[in-house]
Amino acid sequence: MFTLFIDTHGENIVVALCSQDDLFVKEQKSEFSHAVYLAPMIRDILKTNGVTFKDIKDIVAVNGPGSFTGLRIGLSEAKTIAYSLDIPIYLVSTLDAYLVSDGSLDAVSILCDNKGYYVKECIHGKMGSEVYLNDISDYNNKHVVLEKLDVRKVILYALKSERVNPHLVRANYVKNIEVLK
Amino acid sequence: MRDIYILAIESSCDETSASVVKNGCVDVATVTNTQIDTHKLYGGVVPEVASRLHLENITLVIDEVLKQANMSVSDMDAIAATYSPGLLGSLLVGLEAAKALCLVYDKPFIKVNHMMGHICANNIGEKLEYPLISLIISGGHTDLIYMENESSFKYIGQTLDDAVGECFDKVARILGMPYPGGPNVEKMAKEGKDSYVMPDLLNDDSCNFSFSGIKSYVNNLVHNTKQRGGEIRKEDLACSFQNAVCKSLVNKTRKALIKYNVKNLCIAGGVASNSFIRESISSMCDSIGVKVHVPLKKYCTDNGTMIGAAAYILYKNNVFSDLDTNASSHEELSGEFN
Repeated sequence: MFTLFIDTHGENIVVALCSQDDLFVKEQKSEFSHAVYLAPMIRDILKTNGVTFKDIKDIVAVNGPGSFTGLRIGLSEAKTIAYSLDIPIYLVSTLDAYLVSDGSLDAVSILCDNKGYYVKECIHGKMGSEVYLNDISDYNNKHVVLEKLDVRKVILYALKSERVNPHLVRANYVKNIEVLK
Repeated sequence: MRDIYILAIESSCDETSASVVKNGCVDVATVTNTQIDTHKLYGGVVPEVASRLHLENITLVIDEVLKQANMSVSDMDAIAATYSPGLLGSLLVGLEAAKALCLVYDKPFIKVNHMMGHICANNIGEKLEYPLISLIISGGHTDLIYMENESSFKYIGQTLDDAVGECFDKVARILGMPYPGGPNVEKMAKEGKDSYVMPDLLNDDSCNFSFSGIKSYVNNLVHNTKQRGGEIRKEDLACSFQNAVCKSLVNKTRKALIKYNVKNLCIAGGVASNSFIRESISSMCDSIGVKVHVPLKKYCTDNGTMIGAAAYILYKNNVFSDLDTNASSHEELSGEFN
């Protein structure tokens, strides 16, 4: 049985199938065209590896922070698949994903957008909270993790979190938009 | 012939809607979650807020419509979704959900242009007759389209600036009424008299419209009166405004019907739910012997049913789309489908 992994928070779409023995990963660079690539990528990764939807036991989706529209494309796809197959879905923060992929017990995960930085710190293996900052000079001396995914590590980490009812899947925007303030 | 069932999803603006439609004309079940109460707070639709709410509601709406229809996705012959025109972020949520269903259930996907949906809302219950002229009046569109048959679209008139619904919403705002303004202007106009002089709306030989002038006129009138310490008779102003706009719609539609010598007219779009406009256009059509098709009011505003009705026509003509279909904020209907 496989876990289907979907990450659409950034410029690269990552789709993966992971079982105890296998890990198939498909990556695609996509500038503002996630809707063009995502569904065909899922179709193709299944087909190429001889896996069907019946073999999918759960879904892990990266739910942000990141591109609002990118996230919604991935999450709409992920939650509808989970709902249709009646399987659990697990959500993982983009910042957690990078921290877990790095594996250091003391590290900072930083993701920038056009106005500021999403930051999460891991101290002695304990995850802190996620914040949106305009200035990150406080973290100058810390170990900043690379924006690089170790898909298997991220999936194993996410599967330990609480499963989410597909209807209740939300994006982790972190940053509040102007009108909602 | 076997019955064709289509599950259709609409999420182009502030309504998350899903519908199961049989043979393009029977509304088996429709579930619509409207975000009006949320957007009321801001005086209009906030695109980012709309997109967020679509993502929260999309599977709930699909689940509910299937329950009401007492069917499963596997009973469907195709899945359809609106891909354009509309708010990109909103469109993408519905579009991706539809594609996900197609993937899992291995069903054909049909992308539907929202405006074709508005026209096809007329097929629910009663079949449209061709050739016809279609008057689309909504918050984003004011179009006159000539249709030789159900699959050909020729734009013969459009608004040069604001859409008629947009103009209603702006005037409502100027008069201090909450979003969505259109229905409120209509209600207020009922209480008033046509006593304000309104500017002449575009009255040339073309079939085009222009509504930005009257919008500015109402805005200036209200502000000037207030600055001079005068009182605006809101009901009268709403009535005069609605009459002027309606007159322009009636005149241009009559011009188009005569020019193309067409005996059928269909009205579509959110503003088609305005009773005064519906009645005025109907009585003009009666006077020149043209048959009018108007959808039930519930099919005038955005809904999944109309998308299903349009998708059925595409289905019959084998017009299916690939899973790499992207959303587009503005795509006109063209030639033989899109």
